[in-house]
Amino acid sequence: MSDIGEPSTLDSMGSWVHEVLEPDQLTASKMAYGRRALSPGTLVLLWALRVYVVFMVCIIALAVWNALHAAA
Amino acid sequence: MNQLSMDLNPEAAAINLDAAVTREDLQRARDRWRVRRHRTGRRDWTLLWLLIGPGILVMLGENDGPSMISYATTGATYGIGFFLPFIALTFAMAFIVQEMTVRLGAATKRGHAELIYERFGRFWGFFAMGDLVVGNLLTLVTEFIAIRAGLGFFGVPPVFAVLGALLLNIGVALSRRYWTWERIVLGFAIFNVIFVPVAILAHPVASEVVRSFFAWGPLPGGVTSGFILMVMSNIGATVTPWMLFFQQSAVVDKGLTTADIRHGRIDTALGALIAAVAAIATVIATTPLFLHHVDASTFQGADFATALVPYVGKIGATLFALGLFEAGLVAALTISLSSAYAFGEVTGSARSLNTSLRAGWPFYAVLIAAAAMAAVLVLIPNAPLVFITIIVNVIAVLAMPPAIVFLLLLVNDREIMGNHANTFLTNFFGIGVTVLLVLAGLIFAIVTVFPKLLPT
Repeated sequence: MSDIGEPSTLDSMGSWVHEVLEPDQLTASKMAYGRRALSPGTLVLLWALRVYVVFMVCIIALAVWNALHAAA
Repeated sequence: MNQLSMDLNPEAAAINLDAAVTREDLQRARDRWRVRRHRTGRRDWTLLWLLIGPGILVMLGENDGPSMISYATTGATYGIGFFLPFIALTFAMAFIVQEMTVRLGAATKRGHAELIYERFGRFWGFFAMGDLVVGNLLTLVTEFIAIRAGLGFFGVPPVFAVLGALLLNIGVALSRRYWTWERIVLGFAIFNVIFVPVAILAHPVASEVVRSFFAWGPLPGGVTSGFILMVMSNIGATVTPWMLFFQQSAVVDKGLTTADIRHGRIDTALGALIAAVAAIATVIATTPLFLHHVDASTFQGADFATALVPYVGKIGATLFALGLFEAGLVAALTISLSSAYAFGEVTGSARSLNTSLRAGWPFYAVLIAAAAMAAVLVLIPNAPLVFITIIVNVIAVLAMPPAIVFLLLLVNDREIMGNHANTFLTNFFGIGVTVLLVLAGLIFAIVTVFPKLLPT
């Protein structure tokens, strides 16, 4: 990696920023990666975890209900 | 950079630059230039100083209000024993998970929410964001509860405590510079170790502390439903979804590249170590309450500090209350930023603390709104604050498996990760953490549905 020196003027600062940052670190030059193909196994896993979250939300509601009744 | 260029007004400079270069790029370039200069000069310690931040902040940010209350309750209920090595284990789990976000951020230069939307689409992104938004709002509320409780010990009225912390949050964010924000918050975060002197003042028997790490015990009362809840609470105090989103986004905002991954790992490990020490110290600090049979089951916030006065003295109790305030403040700063990062990444708008106010007003607005909403909720009379505090850590544990699976899928995606994708070993540990979290959730569910299965 070469030392690119210090910019002393506004004119040189633009090229200095391009030199210091990697291309995909520049705000304007980011390209979207695009969607990845999800295999059937991955989809099943993601849905299973969604069901898990919904199930656990019910469990939390039950735990809170139990706690409130125990306190009363 | 010479003084002339350092003094240039970034706003003015950015306007005069190539149209493709923004203020955000300019500020990040300055940070990267310093890193490059120190790397070339082989100044290892100063290089480490420049590159640490996201890892320490995420770990100490997670040592937040509810977490410290959880550790304090653990010490007051179980004393020195099983939970000391268990807490160390949870931070090892946190390191395994968070290290992946360093690689993801450095390799892709994208935040976590942005990557989930890009690679999995809006449908799955919506679910991931839903978990984050709900979790962040509830957690932020608990941070302001901790701030209120900590300062309440010193007689500060709740309105002043909460609004003061909110104004501080806004003030630090409006520095409009990631580096400045990070250094200020690091300065606050290091006070998390304030729990260590409190632990020393509790006069623990050193041999008992050491023995507990080898024996994983004692466990007074054995395995009960209360023990399961405490296990869940301690896991939730260490690994939570917002940490994934925050650290990856912070790594990107800081401008870390693949050349910095080693330092990112050190940063994360250092954070895990400091946070584990502070957490274990909190358990030790409240052990006198266990030894003197003080019932801490209904304690909140500053109640612990008040109850500790006979055992650790006024100084110890004061430090404990200050620690609680610090824990809430640092977490409020980091969690509100993680909400703003996620918003910017999902909407395609500004997502950096280096952005100008004009260009990044939605980003700053979300950051401020997230903190303000939580602050207002805390000040509403009769708001269910205890309820929120109790469930927030449990919700974090239950929302974590889907979040880790997204993380594992992303970090194994060679199309975006290249040579930095997970290895067999990192997958082994990552999947291991996921399985442990799912098992913990299922055990909690079984104990909840069948409360008579275990003694209370």
